[in-house]
Amino acid sequence: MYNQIPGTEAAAFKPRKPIVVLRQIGNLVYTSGHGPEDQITGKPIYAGRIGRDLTPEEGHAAARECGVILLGALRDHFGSLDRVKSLVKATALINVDGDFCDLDYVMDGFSDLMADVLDERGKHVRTVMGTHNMPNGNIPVEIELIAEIE
Amino acid sequence: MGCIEKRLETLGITLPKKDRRGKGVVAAREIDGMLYLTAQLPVDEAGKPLFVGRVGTDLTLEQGYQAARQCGLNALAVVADYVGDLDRVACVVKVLGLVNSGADFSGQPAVINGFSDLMLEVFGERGMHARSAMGAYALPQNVPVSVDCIFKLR
Repeated sequence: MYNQIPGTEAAAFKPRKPIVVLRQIGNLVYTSGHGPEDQITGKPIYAGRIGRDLTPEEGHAAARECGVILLGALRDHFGSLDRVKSLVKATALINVDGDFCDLDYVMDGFSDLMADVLDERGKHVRTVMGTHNMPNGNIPVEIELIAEIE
Repeated sequence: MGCIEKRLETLGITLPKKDRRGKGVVAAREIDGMLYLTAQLPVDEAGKPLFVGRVGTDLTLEQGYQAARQCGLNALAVVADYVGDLDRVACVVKVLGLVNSGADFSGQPAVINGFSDLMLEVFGERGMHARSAMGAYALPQNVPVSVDCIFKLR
């Protein structure tokens, strides 16, 4: 099981140099994949595969946490979430084991949050795929987002 | 469980399941003439999977191909529903095909050809697209194929 990420004990959690949290092209913003990680230490808030280490409910909560973190990244960059005209597309990688395939339930943790926070502007298309190996102590969910900014 | 739910249970009544993929999820989103679709699955009109299982173990490549074609048909239905007329499709831009793959199966491109061939049949030159195909460890409802695509409108 995951205990500690070597080398990140004290340092603030920052993506490696060539990777940015998000990139804006015209009125579209593309974010990096975000996992359920503490935004100061980088430590996973959830770790493990859904269907083995984590329950579907924990996976759902992890996807919601990714959503909270993504909203935080957008707010940090644009100053206010009012500048988000609409979400466009979310792509989710979900770390699963065995026969678990209720990926939609897991990802609803993210999608429901966006609808609750942004209403109409939170509507998005989405892709969900199950994978078997993920970074940072095997986080259970990683979500990337395309959004429209004004 | 609420009182009425308990009562339904006592009465032996099960309410029909609705396809409820998150409150925020829509089938299509148009931004600057680009139409993004929610990943399409090989399901019937009621959302019930027409194919289930992993390609290479539970299903053959040919079944995977047919499942990918079904994803394509569903994608066209979403686009037609959104724009009203498929003539408004300027071109298919990009496709990401995910194949629920068993064991050592590595024929993902051949599976996703089921989707790509359909686009060529329907749109001719305009149906050509950039594409990635990859094996997934799991897909929703254990379907064999999921296809995510972007169309340009005119």
